[in-house]
Amino acid sequence: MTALLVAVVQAAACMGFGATLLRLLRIDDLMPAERPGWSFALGFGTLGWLVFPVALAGGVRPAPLGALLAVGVVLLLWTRPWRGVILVPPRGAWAWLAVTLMATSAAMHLLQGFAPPADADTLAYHFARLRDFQTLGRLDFVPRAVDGATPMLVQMTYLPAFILGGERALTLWTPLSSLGMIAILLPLACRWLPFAWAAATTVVVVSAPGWVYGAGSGQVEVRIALFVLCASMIAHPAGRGSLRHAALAGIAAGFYAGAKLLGLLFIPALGLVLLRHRRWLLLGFVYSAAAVAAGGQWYIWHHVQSGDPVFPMLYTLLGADPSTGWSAQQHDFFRTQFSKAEAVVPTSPTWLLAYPFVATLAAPLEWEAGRTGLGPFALMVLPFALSAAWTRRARLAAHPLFPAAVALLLFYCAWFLSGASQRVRHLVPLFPVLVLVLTVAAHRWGRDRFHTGAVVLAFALAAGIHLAGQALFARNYALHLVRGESRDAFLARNVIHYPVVPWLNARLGPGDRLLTSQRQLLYLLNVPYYFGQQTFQALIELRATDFEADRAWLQARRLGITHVLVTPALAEGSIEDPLARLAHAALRAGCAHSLTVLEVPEFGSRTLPTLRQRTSSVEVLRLDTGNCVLEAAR
Amino acid sequence: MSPARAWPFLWVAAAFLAYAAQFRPIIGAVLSLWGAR
Repeated sequence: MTALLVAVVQAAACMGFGATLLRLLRIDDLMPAERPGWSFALGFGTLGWLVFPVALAGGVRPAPLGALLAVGVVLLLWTRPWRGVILVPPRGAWAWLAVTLMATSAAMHLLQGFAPPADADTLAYHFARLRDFQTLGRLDFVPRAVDGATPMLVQMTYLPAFILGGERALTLWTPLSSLGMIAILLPLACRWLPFAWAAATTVVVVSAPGWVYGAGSGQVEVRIALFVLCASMIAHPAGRGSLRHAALAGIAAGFYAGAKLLGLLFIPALGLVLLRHRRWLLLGFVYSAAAVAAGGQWYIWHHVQSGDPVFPMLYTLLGADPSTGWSAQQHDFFRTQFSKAEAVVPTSPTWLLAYPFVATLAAPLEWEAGRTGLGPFALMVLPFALSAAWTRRARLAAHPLFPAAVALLLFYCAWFLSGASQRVRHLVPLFPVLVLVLTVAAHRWGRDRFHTGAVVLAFALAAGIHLAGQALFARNYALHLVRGESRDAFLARNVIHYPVVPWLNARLGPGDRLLTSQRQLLYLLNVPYYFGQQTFQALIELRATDFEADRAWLQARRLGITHVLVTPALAEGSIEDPLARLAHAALRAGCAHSLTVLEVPEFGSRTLPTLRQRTSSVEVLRLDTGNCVLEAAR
Repeated sequence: MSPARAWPFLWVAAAFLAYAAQFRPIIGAVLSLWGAR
């Protein structure tokens, strides 16, 4: 009950902060029904922005974070963003159907709130870092590329929930905050669409595979979509010369950069839209200053900590602080491995055009387009939307959605051609804007021809397959709830190699430190650990290309490592795990002995557990320094 | 139905089937949730 209360109070505080921001900037052209959703979205970013300095100053404690939420609630009572909202029941069968489907999808999202976290990225850093901050009472910098030294504005909103309400408040907060999209998208779509269409648009968005994957976990993309939608919609009045709207667009775009590196591409993409106005210089300045103020805090801090604001992306230009361990060899290895795993097709103009179609219909496994894709809706309505755009080409540029569409296209081109990770889920933040723009255009196309049947069919098929997928995904969580399953039992079913966690938590103490490459276990460990991975960190150099046992041993000892977890067990002879090389060398040199080997289940999917199911093993070794040959070299 | 009216429906159906076809390999795993294959 406390957990639910914390999540609800935090949502109220977000609305208070956002409504205050709207009032301070005197943004008064929103419809009453739009205000609560906009307030929540902007307040969500504001809360993350405010938690950063509090946490940096050592305020990761209940009192400061609780006080922050209390301020938000007081601001909510002062601003009352719900004023003027009149709730009327949907009219007609289609509207009722769409609202029912939307509520069904929302309920399935919320089911995840009642189960422990099980998503690998969430366990590896979105939530694991919160436990680090909780232990230290403040933020700390981890010199790990991609998931360590990353902007964490969204995760900052997780901190109050976690510190005040524990894990349950955190797992409730993630789906609840993602449902803010319904509050913002539904009334927004009503500007251009009949209610039933607006509701159907919302259903297609919130039930898409990429959305389902991220909404109930700690993944940030779904929540970043709140900022993108606000920024894209406010770009129209901003582009017509309003400095206040330009500032708000900058703040929302800055929140994106504060939450994810790709926001650095979104800021200029949206900013270019503002250049159409004769006051472009002033508008651009206000927009940029607001974006820097909203999103710059993490980059400044990372620069102070590592010497690189986007560690380690600018290593060749700026180098890196020696405390990070990053070297030229590590940087080369990182770039090679990252390109191999994340950018599987050339960043050519041909692939720029082909990517959306291939990603929808026949994507390489690396793009994770089936599990975390955007569904078929955009492809199904694309020709209708293009046809409507062509027939209205003379007045297209004046449409309020035009700046959003241009920014979306610019971002897509910049993202694809930049050589960033090609996983489809990186486009999730822009998905609601894409669906809104295409639906409005397709609706106009249908209206011109006096038949909208094909678009309705597209809605029905997309929502049908999305919701079927979401139901499959939610089944796991519903069973957990219905069966009254224990936390341990759920985690054993859903987290690969979980059975070793209770073993480690029972036997290792605060004086030990485990070296592991099993990222999905990090949040669950109650003992000190170091995440030893070969590509993203260099404090222990584990690269396959130039591994040196003496060096790695020395580095591991310097970090206070006492135990190593390897998988599969060393007897199986695999060196799939980069730690196996170190473990083999330590065993041969009399520097370690095996404590246990456990059989553990592995599976390819939590939703479909029979997919790629097999049994593997994990081995825990204790490091010995007494007769250790490697130790002599220290 | 005239071709001008039919093609949008055909396009939507074709796009949907092409999309759905990529999930064929997991049908067995889906059915196994209810104990069937």
